[in-house]
Amino acid sequence: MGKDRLNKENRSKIRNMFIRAEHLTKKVAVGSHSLTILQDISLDIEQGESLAVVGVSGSGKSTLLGLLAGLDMPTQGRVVLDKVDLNTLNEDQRAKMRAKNIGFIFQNFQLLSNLTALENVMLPLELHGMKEPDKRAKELLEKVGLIERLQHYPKQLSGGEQQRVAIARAFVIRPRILFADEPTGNLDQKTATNIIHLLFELNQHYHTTLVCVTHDPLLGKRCKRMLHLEGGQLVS
Amino acid sequence: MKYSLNPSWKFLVRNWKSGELQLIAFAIFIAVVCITSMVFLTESIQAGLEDTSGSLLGSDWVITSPKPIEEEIVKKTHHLGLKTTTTVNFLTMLTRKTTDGSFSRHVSKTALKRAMPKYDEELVLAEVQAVGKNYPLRGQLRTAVQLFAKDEIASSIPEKGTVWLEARLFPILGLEIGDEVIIGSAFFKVDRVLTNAPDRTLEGINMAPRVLINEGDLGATKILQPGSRVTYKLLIAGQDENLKQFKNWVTPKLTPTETLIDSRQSRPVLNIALQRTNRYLGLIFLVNVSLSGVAIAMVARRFSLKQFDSVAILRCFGASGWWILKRYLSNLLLLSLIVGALGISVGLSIYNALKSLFLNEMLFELPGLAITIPVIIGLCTVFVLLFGFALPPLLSLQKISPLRVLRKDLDPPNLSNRLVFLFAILAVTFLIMFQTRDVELTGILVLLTLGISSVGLWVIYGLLQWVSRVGQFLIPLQNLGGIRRRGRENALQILAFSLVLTFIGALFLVRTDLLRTWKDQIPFQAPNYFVVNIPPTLLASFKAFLQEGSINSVHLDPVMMGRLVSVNQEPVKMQIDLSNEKQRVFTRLLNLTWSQKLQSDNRVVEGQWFSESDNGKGVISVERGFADRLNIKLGDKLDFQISEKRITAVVTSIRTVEWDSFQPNFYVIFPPKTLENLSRTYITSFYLPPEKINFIKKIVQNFPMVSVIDTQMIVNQLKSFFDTISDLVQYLWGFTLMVSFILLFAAIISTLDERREEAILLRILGAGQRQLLWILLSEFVLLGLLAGTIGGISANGILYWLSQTVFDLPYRINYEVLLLMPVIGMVLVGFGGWAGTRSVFLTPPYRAFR
Repeated sequence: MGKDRLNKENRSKIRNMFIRAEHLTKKVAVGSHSLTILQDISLDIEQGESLAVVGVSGSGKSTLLGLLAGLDMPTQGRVVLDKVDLNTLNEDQRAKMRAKNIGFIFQNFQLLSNLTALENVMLPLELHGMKEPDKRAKELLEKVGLIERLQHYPKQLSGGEQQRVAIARAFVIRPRILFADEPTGNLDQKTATNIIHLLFELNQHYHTTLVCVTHDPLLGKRCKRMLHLEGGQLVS
Repeated sequence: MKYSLNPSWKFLVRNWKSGELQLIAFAIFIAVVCITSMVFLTESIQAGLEDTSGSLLGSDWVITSPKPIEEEIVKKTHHLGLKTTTTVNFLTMLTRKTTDGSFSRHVSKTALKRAMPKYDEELVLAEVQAVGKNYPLRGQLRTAVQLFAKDEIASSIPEKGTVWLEARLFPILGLEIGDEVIIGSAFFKVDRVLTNAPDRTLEGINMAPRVLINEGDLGATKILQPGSRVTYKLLIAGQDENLKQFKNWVTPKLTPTETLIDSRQSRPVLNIALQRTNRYLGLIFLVNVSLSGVAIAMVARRFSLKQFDSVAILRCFGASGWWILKRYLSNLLLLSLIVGALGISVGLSIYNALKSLFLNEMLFELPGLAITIPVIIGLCTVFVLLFGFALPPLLSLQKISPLRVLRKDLDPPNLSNRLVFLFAILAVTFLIMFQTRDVELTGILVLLTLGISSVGLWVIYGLLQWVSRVGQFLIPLQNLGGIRRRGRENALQILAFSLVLTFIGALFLVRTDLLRTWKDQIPFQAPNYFVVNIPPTLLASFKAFLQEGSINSVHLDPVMMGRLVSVNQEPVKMQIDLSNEKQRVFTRLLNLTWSQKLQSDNRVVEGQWFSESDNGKGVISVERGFADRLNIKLGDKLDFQISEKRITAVVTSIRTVEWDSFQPNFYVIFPPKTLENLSRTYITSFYLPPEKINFIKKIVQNFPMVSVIDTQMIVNQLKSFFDTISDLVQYLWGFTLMVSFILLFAAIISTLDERREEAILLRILGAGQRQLLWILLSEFVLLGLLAGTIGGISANGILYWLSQTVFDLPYRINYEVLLLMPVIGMVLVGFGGWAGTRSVFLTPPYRAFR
């Protein structure tokens, strides 16, 4: 998108803008050298929009997701999330913002192995300080079709089931934005299709902004907009 | 965000399920059980030891006086909550009531004046002790129902109208239990054989056989008349603080004829043994706390590493650093309380079990207040271990980046935990100080441990790098690279192994030295009889008589009574504080002797022992305590009045003397020929088996002018004292071994995950079981060898330092430990490593990988 100039045509668009990234650059130190992973990325994401970031391995997709979600800080540039410049927040303030607004789904599910399916889904609600978190967690697990598996531990669930628990956990706080990092990367085609279907169904139901990092063309196509990353730069 | 809605217990339960917390809890639990039961034991045995020390007086303190103790003093003791009882001691003639009801009694005034026992068929000088209820306050009163029957602890004092007599009186007076004896104007039924009474010493009045009666019978004897030579004693026992307060109050009130005696001052040998035991306990306590601390730190580090991913997820979903810290802190707190309570109760149960099973006689019931000390130390230990050693690794959790959910390589930055470690060190120091009440010892031990750990880590790290570089050219071990790769972990691991082996080795060596010293303290067949007043004319026949009774190689020392008149021509009375009993004693008659040879239980600490050229000269050797109290130095001139003769002698040596060696010993010794023209008697000591007690009667019959002193009771008391502390040291040594194994276990599992993963991967890649076993074993055995070598060397180093500074024991290099430790290290660590990783060999590789 680049450096948009404020004019009358895009004023309404800006009003709806939920995430804005400006000139994001991320460099990491490797020994005595510095490696540029992302270079001068700028983009806007509107509320309720679904965006897929695609690219080959090592193109910087996950790094971009980490910066947009406030999990990491850019070397240069800034991310404005819901009108708040993330550069002005410290890690705990960003954590507070994530707890309120953001859900996550990961390729390797990232469930806590010592918690049951229900406890995993309750976790964000407990962090949020919600009373009776189990009630809403059960609702979500029912929605993802796992009401029978509430007390199962992650290792007792299949990959698809674990990802459904992760989806339930992501939606349980009714996030305004959901970041998904290769959500179908570890699943077979059939299970992946089911998961994509579930993801978009819940996305519509909760009017969530969705940012997906994926290799999966099927998932990319389901998103309203698709961005291509190559060598740390946006190519389309 | 509200933090209270995820209750700590829920977090604890969830973490508990992960299994890692269970390991921390287990390590702490074992540490607390060991430490608490150890403190219970030591407090209890300490009470027992103090009691044993007190048993020499029958109390902690004694006030002696020739007249009844002032009521004001007794009231003050009650006011301070001190326990008291009174005794009245006097010498009198004891005789047996004959069968026809008559008795023969003629009290020899000269015999009374000499204050020495005289043996006669019908009349014996005895020391009567009229005791009040509660006697003794410390130590045990033991009696037997028959002569030579097994004795037992007496639960009360003699009933009114009855008397308890020492065994040697029975053959001399021809008595049996149930017979009657006469003391003064009263008849007493002989009820029991007195086998052990407290307040026996090798001095003065105790030479006469002891007779115990009830103080209620004192009036009936009609012995106490104005001018009678009687010693009234007030026995006092209680808490140290109260005793000190009492001492400060009473000291200025005592008249010159009254004396306050402290049980701990009355026996220097026991004092040294007690001090060494205390120090050994302190050492064991430090070792246990330190080893537990290191074990817990290692387990907590592993726990913390395993939490990285979970914490990253929590951070990703919005948990703040403080929230994370708070959860883990509350986890630790809850764990401390639960494990602490559990550990302390199990510790108490173990103590009770040990007490009832093995240690009945050496353990003392802890009074209500004393029970709180082990509980407090137990709880403090839990908190110190958890917050001092488990917290530092956990603190890094709050710094974990949420980005770790996307990038596994992101570890938290290394936190500077110096403050927390400093806190841990201070807390441990405080704990040890609280337990040992010995600042010097605590300082030495803490500095020693810190020094060994830091120097050890540095040396080990360098050594590992060297071994892995040089070793691969010397021995075909594929996994030597692994040792270098895991340099830091391995260095920590070896440090932990080395610490265990060092401490085990050092404690073992100190324990062996202490036990040997204590065993030597009372030789097998220590002399139990002293014979005094042997005239020179009967010397040869007396020796021959003893040989007939199979008592051989007896040494007889000449004894002369003399008075120290002046030091450097200053009258001695001008130089001493007459109100000080310790100094005043030297104004009385002293036992003097001469000798060419230095006795084996004497050691010259200043100057030179006599050479043959000194014979006949006016030179002397003086005992150190005697010299110190009168401020006598080498070269000082001392004047003695011996009979009618004045002798001047120059001090040429100062000696230390083992007063409890059961050999005759002297404050002042002359060389031969200087005193030979003066009148003298001889003294000797020998061992007589209890069943030959009748031989004493024969001595008395054949040599009526000599006096026999029975020291069997004192020998028994000391034997039981040294047996007690030896047993104690053995038990505590066992506890340390237990704690050591936990640390060994913790150290082994600390790098087990990585090793397991590597092993599984190697199996998938086609490594055979034997090959894998060889790789793993070679690494662990090599680590054990390094740790054992370091342990053997440091144990000897520590022993050297401890021997010199803390225990005052002679040092010798222990080659057994030096050579055995590497072998023990290889076996223990090799076996532990094999046990920890053997599941890899038993499980199919794919399943193991999942």
